[in-house]
Amino acid sequence: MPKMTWSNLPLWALTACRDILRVATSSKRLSCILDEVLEIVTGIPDLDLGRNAAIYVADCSTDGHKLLHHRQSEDMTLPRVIDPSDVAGSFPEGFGRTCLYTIPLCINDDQPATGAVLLFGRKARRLSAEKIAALHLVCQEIARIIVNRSGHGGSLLNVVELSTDEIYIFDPRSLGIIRSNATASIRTGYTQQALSAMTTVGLKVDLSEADYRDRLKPLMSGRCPSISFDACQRRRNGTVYPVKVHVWRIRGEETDLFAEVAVATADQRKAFGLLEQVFDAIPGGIGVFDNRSRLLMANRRLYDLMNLPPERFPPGSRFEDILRYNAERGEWGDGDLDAMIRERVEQAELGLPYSFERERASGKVLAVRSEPLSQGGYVLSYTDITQRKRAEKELIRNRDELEETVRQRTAEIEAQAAALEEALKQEKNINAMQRQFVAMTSHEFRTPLAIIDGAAQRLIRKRGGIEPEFLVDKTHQIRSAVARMVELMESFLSAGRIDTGKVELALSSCSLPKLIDQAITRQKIFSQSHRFECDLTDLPPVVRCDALAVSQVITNLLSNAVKYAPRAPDILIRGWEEEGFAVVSVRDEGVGIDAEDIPKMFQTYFRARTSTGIAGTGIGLSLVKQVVCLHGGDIRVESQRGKGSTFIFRLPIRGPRREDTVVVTDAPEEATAA
Amino acid sequence: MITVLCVEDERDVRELIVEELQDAGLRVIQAENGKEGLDVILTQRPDIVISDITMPEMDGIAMLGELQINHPQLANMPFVFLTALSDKEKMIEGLGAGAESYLTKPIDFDVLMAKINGLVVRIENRVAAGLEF
Repeated sequence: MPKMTWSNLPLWALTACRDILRVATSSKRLSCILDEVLEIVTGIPDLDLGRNAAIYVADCSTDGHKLLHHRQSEDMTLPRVIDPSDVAGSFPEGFGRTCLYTIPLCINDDQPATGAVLLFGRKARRLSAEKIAALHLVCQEIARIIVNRSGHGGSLLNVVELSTDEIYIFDPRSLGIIRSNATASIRTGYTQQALSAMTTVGLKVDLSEADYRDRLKPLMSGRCPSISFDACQRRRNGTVYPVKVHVWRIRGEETDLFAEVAVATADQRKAFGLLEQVFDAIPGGIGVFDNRSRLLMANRRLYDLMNLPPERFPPGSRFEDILRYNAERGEWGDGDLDAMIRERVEQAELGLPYSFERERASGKVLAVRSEPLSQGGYVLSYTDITQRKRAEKELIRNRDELEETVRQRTAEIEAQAAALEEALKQEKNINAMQRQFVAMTSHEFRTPLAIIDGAAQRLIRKRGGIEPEFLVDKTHQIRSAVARMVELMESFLSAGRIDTGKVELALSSCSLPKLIDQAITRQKIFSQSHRFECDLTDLPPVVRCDALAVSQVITNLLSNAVKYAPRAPDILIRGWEEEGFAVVSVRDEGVGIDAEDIPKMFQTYFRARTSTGIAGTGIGLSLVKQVVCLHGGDIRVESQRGKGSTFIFRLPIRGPRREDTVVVTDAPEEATAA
Repeated sequence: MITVLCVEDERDVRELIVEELQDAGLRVIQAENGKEGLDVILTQRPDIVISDITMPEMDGIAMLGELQINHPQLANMPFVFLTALSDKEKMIEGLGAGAESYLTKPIDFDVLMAKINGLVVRIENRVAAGLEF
């Protein structure tokens, strides 16, 4: 190995060593120093060590080297003890994939190694002799630091004296302070000499001697190299301040001594307290978790929002346990809880920001956000957005209501428009029907007029004398035409009366068969080609009704039967009694009525499609229906196109009840003779 | 001899017209509605047709339309509508269908006979001139 001096060291090694020396003289704890040293060593470029390193030191009680300190970025389980003669063999199977550099730890080249520094490279790389030499130098420095810190005389005392923390070397049996540093004197207000007459526990406010000794037990038994606990110390002036206490066992040649380092935590506490206050002032719940999903810090609001008992989940609690606590209370509903918890934890540990909203069983809505921290871990924040959600819902509901209202109004307006359109259409229909009615009425009057006028003209124009038979014939034509006109006028007048509601039924006991017979006789004058067959034996002999009106009804039905059955001469009139009603049906075998026209048959002015070419006004049947209804009866039609029609009307035998008709007057009995 | 067909569903009206025509020395044949009238036209080939419009089975205008479309060789046959339908629309419809004349009821026999006589003269002149219609 070439002799290296500080002057011919490569630049990187010089930097490293200077840093080491700097930290070595500081008052930091050994583990901190070693951590920094190893960081420098493993961070040396070209070595490609992957920042993994371990320091093993010789252990007097065994032949092996014990693991003193390590830092690692990769997941490796380092052996607690290695065999210095076969370092590689001390590692378990599979560890050999990584490249292992072993550098002996010794203060001087001529002294035996007191341990080894192990460096783990990602890949096997032959280091140049120069670099190995530099590493040796660095490791020598490490060895010196360790040895100095481990209680080899003056060096340690220097460090102790310079430390900014209170350091007390004391006898574990009597707890008497053997030596203290300047900082202890300054902090406590006692002189170093005064302190030498005191015990460490004597400075503590909150610990009895028994408690203190209790805490030292692991050190006494040698179970662990150091212990830490929180305590409060009293100054000479009586004021109290909090400290973090670390106690080490220092191996001496005859007897072991203990070293207590008291780190004043007041400033930390103060800062931390401030942070806690700030934390608690935040309206949302905040939880800070480390990279292993352990709770570092949480504010009160977090416990409130998540309904967590603070005593059950102090800092240090696992995120997973917090989740499980809520999940098992049914906050997450049914399902595989383990899988859901795992998913949440994995999501949180992914190191990516995310957010979601969750409704708790209580109805509270929380917005959950996770923000990763730069050095691992994450901050979870919980915001109660119940009010906002409620407001949102309210807003949505209002909007929906508004929309619904608009929709309803629109529908109403549309319905009104449709109704208006329908009314207009009906108006138009009625207009059309009325026009047709006027035309047909004119036709209906003109036909008998044509007969009267024609017969009169014929009488005048007859040349060569008028024979008596001719005169009789013409007179007969004129009279029957006049009768027809009278009947026509009667029906118009009746329609007009009923329409204006001024109808008066002149009720009397009438014989329906008689009224029917009379109507047939009259009809026969106009319709000599038709045959009227009657079956009226089952009719009640007397019905209370308006003889004239009912007579008109019958005549109308008969003339319709004739009119709409021009080629079928047989007309059948039947009468019977049922349920207190006298029923009359008039059947023809004429043109019939389309099914869809049947419901409209009794509307004023309506004329069925099958009536094309057959004169008519469209008021006859409407009049018939009105008369029948005034009597408290009803009328219906059974028909099929081309198969003839049957009109059936019913009249109550005892006459109309009062409410059936507008005005009912009792006619004198002689009117029956009509 | 000129033959006139009278198509009319009202028996009394038909009778009056037939009498009048017969008194004028014309041969008259009768039909009760459009359908019957069409049959008579096709089988007996009258020279003149006097027809009502409102009739069951087939009305006068439909009868004329049937003749014009399916029997164009008879389309020149003079058609006189004699109807109680006095509205202008119906008159336009009737004349538009190809009627020679549109007379309304009550019947003025002077006017009717003047019309018929005019047609008779025209037909006789055409026959004399050797023209068919």
